[in-house]
Amino acid sequence: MAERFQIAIVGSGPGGLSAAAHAAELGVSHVLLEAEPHLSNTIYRYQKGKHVMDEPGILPLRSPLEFKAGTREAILGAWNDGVARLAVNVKHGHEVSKITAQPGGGFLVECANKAQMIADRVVLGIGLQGNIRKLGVPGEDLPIVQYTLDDPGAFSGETIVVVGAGDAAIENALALAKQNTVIVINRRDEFARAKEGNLRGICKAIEEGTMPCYYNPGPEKVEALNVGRKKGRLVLQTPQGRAQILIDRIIARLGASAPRGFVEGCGVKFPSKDPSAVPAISPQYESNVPGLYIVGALAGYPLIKQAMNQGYEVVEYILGRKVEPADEPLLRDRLKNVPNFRSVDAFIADIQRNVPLLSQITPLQLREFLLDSEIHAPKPGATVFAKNDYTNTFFSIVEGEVEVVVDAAQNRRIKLKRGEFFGEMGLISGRRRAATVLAGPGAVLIETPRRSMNRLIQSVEAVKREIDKVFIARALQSRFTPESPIERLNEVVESARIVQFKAGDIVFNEGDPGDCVHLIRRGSLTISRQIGGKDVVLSYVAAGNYVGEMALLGDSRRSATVRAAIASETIRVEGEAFKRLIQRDPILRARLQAEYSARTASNLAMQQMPAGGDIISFLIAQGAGEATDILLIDEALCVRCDNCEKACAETHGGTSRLDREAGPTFANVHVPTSCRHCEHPHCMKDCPPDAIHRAPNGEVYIADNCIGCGNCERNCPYGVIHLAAKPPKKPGLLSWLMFGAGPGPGEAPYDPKAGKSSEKKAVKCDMCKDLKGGPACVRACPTGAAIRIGPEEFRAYARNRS
Amino acid sequence: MAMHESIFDYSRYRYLWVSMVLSLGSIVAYLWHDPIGEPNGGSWLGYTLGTIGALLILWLLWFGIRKRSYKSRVGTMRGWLSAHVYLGTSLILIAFLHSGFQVGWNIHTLALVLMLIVIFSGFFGVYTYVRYPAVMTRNRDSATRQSLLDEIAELDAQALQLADTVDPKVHAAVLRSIERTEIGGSFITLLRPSDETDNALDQVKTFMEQRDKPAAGAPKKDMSTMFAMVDFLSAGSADAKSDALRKLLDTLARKRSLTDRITRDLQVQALMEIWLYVHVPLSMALLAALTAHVVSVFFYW
Amino acid sequence: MRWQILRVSQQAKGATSVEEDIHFGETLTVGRGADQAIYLPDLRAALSHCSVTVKNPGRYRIQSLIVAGVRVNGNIVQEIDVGAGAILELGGTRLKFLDPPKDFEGAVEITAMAAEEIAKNANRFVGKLTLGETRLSKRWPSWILFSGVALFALILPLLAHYVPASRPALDPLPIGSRDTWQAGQLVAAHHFFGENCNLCHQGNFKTVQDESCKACHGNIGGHVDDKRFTLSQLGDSECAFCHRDHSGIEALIREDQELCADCHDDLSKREKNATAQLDVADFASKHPGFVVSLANWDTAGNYKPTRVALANPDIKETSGLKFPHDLHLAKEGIQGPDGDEVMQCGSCHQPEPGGARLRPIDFEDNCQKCHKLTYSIREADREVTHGKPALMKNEIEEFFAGQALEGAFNDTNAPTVVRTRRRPGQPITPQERAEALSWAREQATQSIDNLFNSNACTYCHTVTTDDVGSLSVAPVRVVGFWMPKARFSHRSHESMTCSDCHKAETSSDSSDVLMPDIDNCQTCHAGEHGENKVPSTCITCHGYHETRLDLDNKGLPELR
Repeated sequence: MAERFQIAIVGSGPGGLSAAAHAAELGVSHVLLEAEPHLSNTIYRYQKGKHVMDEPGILPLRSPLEFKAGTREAILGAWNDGVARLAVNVKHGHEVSKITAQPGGGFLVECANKAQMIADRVVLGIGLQGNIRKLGVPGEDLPIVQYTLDDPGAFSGETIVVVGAGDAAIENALALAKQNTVIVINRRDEFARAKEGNLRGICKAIEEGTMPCYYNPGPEKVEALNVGRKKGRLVLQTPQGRAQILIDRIIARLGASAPRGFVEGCGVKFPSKDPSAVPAISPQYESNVPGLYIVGALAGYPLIKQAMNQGYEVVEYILGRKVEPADEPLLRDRLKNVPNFRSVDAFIADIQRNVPLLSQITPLQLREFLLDSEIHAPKPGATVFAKNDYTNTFFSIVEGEVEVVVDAAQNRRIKLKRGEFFGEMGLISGRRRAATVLAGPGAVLIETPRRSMNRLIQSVEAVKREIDKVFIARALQSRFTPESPIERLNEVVESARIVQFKAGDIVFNEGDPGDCVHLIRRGSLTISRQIGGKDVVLSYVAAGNYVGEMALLGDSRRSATVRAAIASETIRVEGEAFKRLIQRDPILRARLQAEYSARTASNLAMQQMPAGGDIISFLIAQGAGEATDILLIDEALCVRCDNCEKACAETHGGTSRLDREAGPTFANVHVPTSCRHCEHPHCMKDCPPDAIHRAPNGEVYIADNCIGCGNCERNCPYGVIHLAAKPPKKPGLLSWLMFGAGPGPGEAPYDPKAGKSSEKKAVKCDMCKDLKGGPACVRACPTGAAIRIGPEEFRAYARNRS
Repeated sequence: MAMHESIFDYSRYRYLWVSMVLSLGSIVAYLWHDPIGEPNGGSWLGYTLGTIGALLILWLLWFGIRKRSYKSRVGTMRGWLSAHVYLGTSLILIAFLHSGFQVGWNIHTLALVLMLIVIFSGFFGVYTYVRYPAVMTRNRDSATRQSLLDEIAELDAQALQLADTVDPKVHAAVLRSIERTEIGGSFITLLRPSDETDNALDQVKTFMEQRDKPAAGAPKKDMSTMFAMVDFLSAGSADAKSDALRKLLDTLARKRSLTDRITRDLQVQALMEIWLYVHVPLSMALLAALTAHVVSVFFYW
Repeated sequence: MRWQILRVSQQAKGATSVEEDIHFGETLTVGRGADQAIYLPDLRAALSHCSVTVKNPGRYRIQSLIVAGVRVNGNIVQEIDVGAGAILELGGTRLKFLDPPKDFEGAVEITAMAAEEIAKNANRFVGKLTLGETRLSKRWPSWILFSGVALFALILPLLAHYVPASRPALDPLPIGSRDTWQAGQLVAAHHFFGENCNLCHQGNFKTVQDESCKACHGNIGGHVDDKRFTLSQLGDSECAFCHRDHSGIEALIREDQELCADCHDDLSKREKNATAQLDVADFASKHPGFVVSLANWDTAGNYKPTRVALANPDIKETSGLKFPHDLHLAKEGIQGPDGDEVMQCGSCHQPEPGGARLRPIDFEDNCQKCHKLTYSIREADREVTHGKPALMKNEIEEFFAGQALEGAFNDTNAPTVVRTRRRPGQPITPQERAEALSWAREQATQSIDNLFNSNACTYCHTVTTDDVGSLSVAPVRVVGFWMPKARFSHRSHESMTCSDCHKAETSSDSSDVLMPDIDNCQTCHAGEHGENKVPSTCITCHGYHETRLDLDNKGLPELR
């Protein structure tokens, strides 16, 4: 008969561990099931000495276990001590394979090692990392087979087989190959998933023969050897036959299996198919399966402190106690400006009643949502945001109304009422605000950061649908018919749909029949034409503009080819509907014709100057297409003094955020490695503490609450973010000038160790937003070689240069 | 509209105008002024021009500090350098008008001479700044210096591999050339680079001539160019060694062009910096001389 | 020979293991060939790269077998003798030669280099890539030049100033002496100061004080009488205001006209004691007409010239002489003893030595040739001495007395005794004597009257006879210094003719003042800034330190 516990906790991550510790503290019968022989595998697998942050700092910690910012070792040590002190009932090596609700209450928890137990309540704290995929052959658990690699420098002179085709495997293989014999085993036929740089590196190594590689092999077994110089051998089936490799070590980097299948197997439902969607849970962290609770990253709370608090709280809830959520005081503080504020719960109820968009999400999600958001109760007439601001937050109207200034010259305004939302354009296209919004009487607004909103959109399908619909309507209206009521657009809106393009995808070809208009919602497009057998870029169209109207207005064939410069999204409006709209709306027709002739003239001008087009295509190829601001260096003026880098380092705590020399050059225009402040910053995509923001003037910057996870560094395709520690203080400039004391301006500290605290944070260009007069790199350029320009200036720039 | 503006046309030649106004004003004052005796530093105009000149020198020297005060918001570096160049140039005139064109064997003339050397070294710097950036870009051809160095190291390894398949003598020659290759080093080699790789090419060619001898009879003098060698190779028997030799020649030629490029790169960069090693120390000497000049004038007033 | 070969291999986590091997042979060959004693499978090694022999235990000779040489202790060599501890690097392998243990003649330890070391060595061909990395520096040359210049240009001269003992050593230096502080040469007169700056300069940022000048130039007075007229309001009564040195070998004295004009332009308005001074600013445009000093004596007989402006129409010179210049300068000539003679100014007016002024006119030299002072018809060559009337009378009386007493005077009207020829020694009676002397007196009186009143003297002089018949010649008072307050040199005007300035040809009366007035000078001279004329400042004609004219402290004549 299986053992019975009141609470079974699956996974000893911060959430599970904290729950188990609290249960042990209260003397509740519990079991903590952990697949690995150690606690908290995710953190255990951090590299040695990694500094772990304790964001968000404002949130108080509720857990019997200690947690404060420190090294991985210190944190794990404190937890191990805590677990021992509280006598937590941990069962290592128990990988839970199935959880089934028992008739009559309770769950049957089955483990991979055949252990079974019954629990009244189950807390899932398994996180998102999932289980590391193993080799799946006999001998996969031998000590010579390892699935992680902390420090490639720890091995030398060994024969090591690296299995895997992902970035992790390639990076390990390349790093190990410096001082070991490395053999790569790719179980597919190419390295499709790898990043460009890694791919180049490994292909070169394989081509040169310095790193043998087996494609498509089937490993058969791993054996440890007692005799001979090598510790073991790997037997594998290759297309050429069976092979045997004598090895010292196998490092398998095969990724991990996402836990979603397992969670769904337990009966928990996910709101969408999106891989980043998290299961819906109640304010008490209970999933749709009664008695099954979810805490931590799986519940959508990626930060350690949040998870630990949830672990504590979930035990309290299970015991039927009412716990004020840890964020209650924070929320109360946040809501204190709201008129007639009674309680947080009442306010949340108000939101759910008043705002249809937010009524479909759980109160817990709403709490989180509010915690991320700002609540405003602006005075009537106050500006919520101004046109051309670079803010990208989303506003929902809880009470009262706001006015959107559609046309400042004619003072035409649109009223938005309770329950409606606005700001979605900035949210989606990452561009400047299209209109000024003024507060109306009694307005209570929720301002939500883009990231929180996007998370919500991804996890709640209904929200996405609603926002998309409104977006299309408003985008079309504001672009085409700002003067007429939105209803007139109904037919067009009905016909419109959102189309996505990858970088380089063709939107339409020269000569195609013109049957639609594309309004660019995200990304940017290039317009090019075949001239003398060569593709000449005529123009570059940024988000918020449209293409394709030429064919609808004039001749019916496309006069040029349109490509996506970067991954883009357009609103495709059917030509017929659009033509009818034009017929109904003479003002629109006149405007389109004016723009049409302006564009034709400009295209003609560009055709005469193919070099200008070349510069544009060069810039687009360097990712300028998604830039909002890009650093360009005229190499005919640049004297390579590196003052730009030094200035950057000196104004940013000693670390330069730009690399002048790196980066391509065309016609003396050099694009150094420096942030382009993408309209859709890749770095923002996955920032656990939400530390990356866009400042009102468009600068993308990293706030101090960065935890140094390195996600942004990996996500940036331009390599402009890196992790850096704060360097030691430098002596004054004069003492360096006169006596050479300490490192000079812009120089790295002499003793790299002095600055090598493990507390690394991500650093990137912030365009010196806190300094008057613009970016230091440009200001410090003595010869005027460095400038920063926005994409709207490309055309003038190219014309100027050619 | 942000565009690249060089230090010359900065802000529509603002500092050119400033320095021209300053210069013309000084000339007019000098011509108008009727001092007692010969024009000299001791007249009121002399003192005025001297004060302007001394303040200008101090301000020009301050450039070294301003250049490194990256947080400073007082103008842009481009503006400062533009002003530095133009006003520094006008200083020549102001100094001569100040002294009334008198020179002698004294510290006053020492200050003048130092100032002139500093200014003219600055002119050379301006020349390099105008001339060499484009040269450097063309020479670099989009490669970074590190990538060129890496490629050379790679070519070395390749050359060794190829040479090994040919003959131990060739291998030794290549090995020798690798050991003797030097990029950079002292400032003299930076400014006047020399290259040893050619040696390997010669050695390989010599070897080929010897190899060729039994077949072709007398050694061919006209085979000294690489093109001739290549002709010979393409005409010769296509055995594995010829093939390897051909590749080796290609590799060495490529390495040679790379080392040429990189040494040229280093040379250009060194040229763009070398004048500073005159400009800056002599500026400091000028500071001392200027101090002595001012002190001596007023000490024994 | 027995070689001990130790192969050290690195294990994971920093552990090492050593394999021992023995090689027999005279030489230890190293290379990539399979036949080598130490086989290195490394392309950076030649097939047979080098050989090592033992010279004596612990001493090895390494010989490269290829032209590339071999790297021993970091340097590429062809052949070298080394002791134990030497390190040979070949590709990625390091050979360390050791002291051979017992029973061995040679020992070598072979270690594979760590990967990063190999990578570092692969980049060995990369030297310093920027000037900043080389030994060139801006900082220490800056310091050296700065301190060098500061030492020689500032500190050493200051040292010489403050420590007199150091001067003998420092002053002769070509650089670093105080001489290098001099902006220009000293005036000639000051050259003997040498390097002794302190003679004039007190140092310590003080201007040169008057005391320093007056140590030598003490006897030079000020501009005017400082007892009566203080110049404090000028504010610049210091010597250095006008006198500057270090401007070359010629003394620099301030001589611009503004120096004077600054005060004299409106001195009469500003200074009540100076009301007698006329305002002056510029010779051409603001300068009063010339005033000459006419000779005059007061009642006590003291010389007291009268100042009269040349512009005054009543101006008359009262020299007491009658001299018609026009008569003497007549173009057709004037009758002289040798016939008609054409006279020039220079016939009488000759320059003084030095040429600045003219010699005084002298009767004997200039006039007597024509204007003979004879008194006896019988002896026409006999003349009286000019200029002393009493003596002249005496001479005449003595002449006639002598004639009378001597006798044999051939005149029928004369008494006998006078006509009578006597033998020498023949006595004469007192009566005869009285008669002869009476005749002589009569003759003399007649001659004197003739000479003084009708014949000779009155040509030029005014002769008066008083009641008792005494003759007196009016005194001659020719002006010597017409313009005592200005400097004028005839020599510098030699290119001119006399008549350009002095209108003597038309002057018939000696009371005419022939001095030219300012307009005459202004035809050639203008003020300092005059364009087409000779620029003339105040100092051209006037002195500054004019108290020397007034050494008795009574002030300038005009102020008396």
